[in-house]
Amino acid sequence: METYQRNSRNRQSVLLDELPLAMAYVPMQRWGNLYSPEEGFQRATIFRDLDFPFHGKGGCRR
Amino acid sequence: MRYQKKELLNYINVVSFAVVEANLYLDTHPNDEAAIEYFNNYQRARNQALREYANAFGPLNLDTAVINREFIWADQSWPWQLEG
Repeated sequence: METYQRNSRNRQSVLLDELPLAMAYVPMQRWGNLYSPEEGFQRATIFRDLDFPFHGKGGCRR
Repeated sequence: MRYQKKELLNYINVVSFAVVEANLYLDTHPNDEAAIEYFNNYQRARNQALREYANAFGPLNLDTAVINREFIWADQSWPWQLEG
């Protein structure tokens, strides 16, 4: 299957140091770094950036 | 015929999932050109596959159901029914 893999133009990152202190932030997702549709279907997300398998403890990435 | 029934159904599931993923992303990024392109591409692939499936094995949804003189939906085998 053909895959359409184009990243959004706006994929540069923001430095944490530049942000005001004592605020909570959720980084905005950016398009790109995708699995193929077939692999995404198996992994239950097409976004590699959002693929956090559960291993019984938090904060880890496979 | 490009695909057998099972493969075509799997293909429809795969592209449908891709379309929904792009749909959810677009909810929060409505102007993202790359995501719009992805959505349009896989939506087209999905619609095409649903039409192909309907023509060969009967409709999966109302949008691809074509009634000529008789409504045969209830008499066709269900998508999850194994043949034979």
